Amino acid sequence: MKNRWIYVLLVLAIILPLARPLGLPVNPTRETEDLFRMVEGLPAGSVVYLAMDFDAGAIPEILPQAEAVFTHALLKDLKVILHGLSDQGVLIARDSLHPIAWSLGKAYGTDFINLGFKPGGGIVLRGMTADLWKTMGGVDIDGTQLAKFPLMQRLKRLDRSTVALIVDFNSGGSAMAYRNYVSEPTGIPLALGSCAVNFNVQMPFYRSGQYKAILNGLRGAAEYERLLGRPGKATSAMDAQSTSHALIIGLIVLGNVAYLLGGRRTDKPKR
Amino acid sequence: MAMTRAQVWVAAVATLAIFSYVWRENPAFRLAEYVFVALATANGVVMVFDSYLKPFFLVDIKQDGQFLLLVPFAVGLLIYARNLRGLGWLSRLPMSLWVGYGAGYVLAWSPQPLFIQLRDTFVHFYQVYPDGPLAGRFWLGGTVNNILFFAGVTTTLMYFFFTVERRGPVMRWSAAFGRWTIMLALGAAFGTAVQGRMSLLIGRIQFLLGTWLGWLK
Repeated sequence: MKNRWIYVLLVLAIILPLARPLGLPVNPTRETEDLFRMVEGLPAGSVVYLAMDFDAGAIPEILPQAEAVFTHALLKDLKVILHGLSDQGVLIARDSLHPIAWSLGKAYGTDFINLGFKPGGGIVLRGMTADLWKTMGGVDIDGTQLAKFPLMQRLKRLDRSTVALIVDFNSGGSAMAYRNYVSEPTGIPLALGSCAVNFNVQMPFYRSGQYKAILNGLRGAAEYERLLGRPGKATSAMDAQSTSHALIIGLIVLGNVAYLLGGRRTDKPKR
Repeated sequence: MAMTRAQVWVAAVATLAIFSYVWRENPAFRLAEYVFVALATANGVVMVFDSYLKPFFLVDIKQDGQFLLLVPFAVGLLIYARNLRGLGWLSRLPMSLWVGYGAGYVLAWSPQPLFIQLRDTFVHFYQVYPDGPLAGRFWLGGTVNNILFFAGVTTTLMYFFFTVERRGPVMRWSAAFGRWTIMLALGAAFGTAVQGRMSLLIGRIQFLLGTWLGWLK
């Protein structure tokens, strides 16, 4: 079978359920419910720190997660700090999350703020636990002085008394930096918005309690949207995810059956 | 994401150019690939300048007068000395500081999370229901889970234990069980990798059919 036919089947398996949704159920997993419950249980005015540590390539998986958690936090009247160890994540947040806040009647600098990007990984994070203002150069993503924002007056450093929860939306290794340099030393609870590829690697840390919750890729976003009662892009993509997985499972079974019936030939696949 | 119509068209054409690789390697794919790499690099440079260098000079140096910070800044600049004939050795100075500081930093902060992981492998085999109507009664599922977990961890370690030759039933069977555990873990990792790639493809198709063509509600 030529690879191109597989691509055609795959695209059809995605387009058809997008055009005509099947309405397959999305049942939230414990890893997602844990994050929802944590955000839901925080008292109004608590500060939630959302780390936008993903790049443009991870937008389909991670951005719906960030949008759902950000919306939930603002609906609960929590204060949100956006920051990124990725240069693209904070810009994506500015384009996607800021409009959500404005649509909910929230004010920049009072209800949420975007601190922008700082290169340096774990060293930057350690700096933020000692003196956040100094580490950020005293300015937000647009170069405005932090002293001008009411929200920043109560947030001089990252510690347990100022930040109630950190959620690291990441497509790389930043979770380890937040775990080792912020969460463990300060005791701030840490949750992850993880792309599916990294999910398995992160699970042992969830089991041990080092991560309080994990969202698993697009599915995690859909589960969170369901818990929030606001279905979005992730929810509408779940049917396509199921049909495409079913197709791949079918092709794997078919390939193995053909392999067993046809003998162990080692022909190179035709393109 | 909020995008103007022109931005949507540029993104759609770029997406189709990248997808054209499925057909074969072609100039449209290469152009889109080079443009993406160039844009990502340029974005990184501008963001580092805006987020790091600008506040460093305008706030730390000019406004707060912390002139001592210029010393590590100058030491950092020595990394470029490798391009100067006869002075290349100077670039080793910031590099050695960097490596030494980095190694010490990691060693100082990494043990605690690792020990928590180690502690988590010490599990009770006998499990009871933590809550619900059967709270306190024997929990077969939890018990089997913990036994499998213990067996998986120990036999995987045995698989990578090369000091003793794999002779005798204990070493051979435990290493074989460990290999199966590793294969199951790799299978799960492959499954989530497929899940992730499908999510990215779905996201792009949603963009093309919905945001660009307006065919999806």
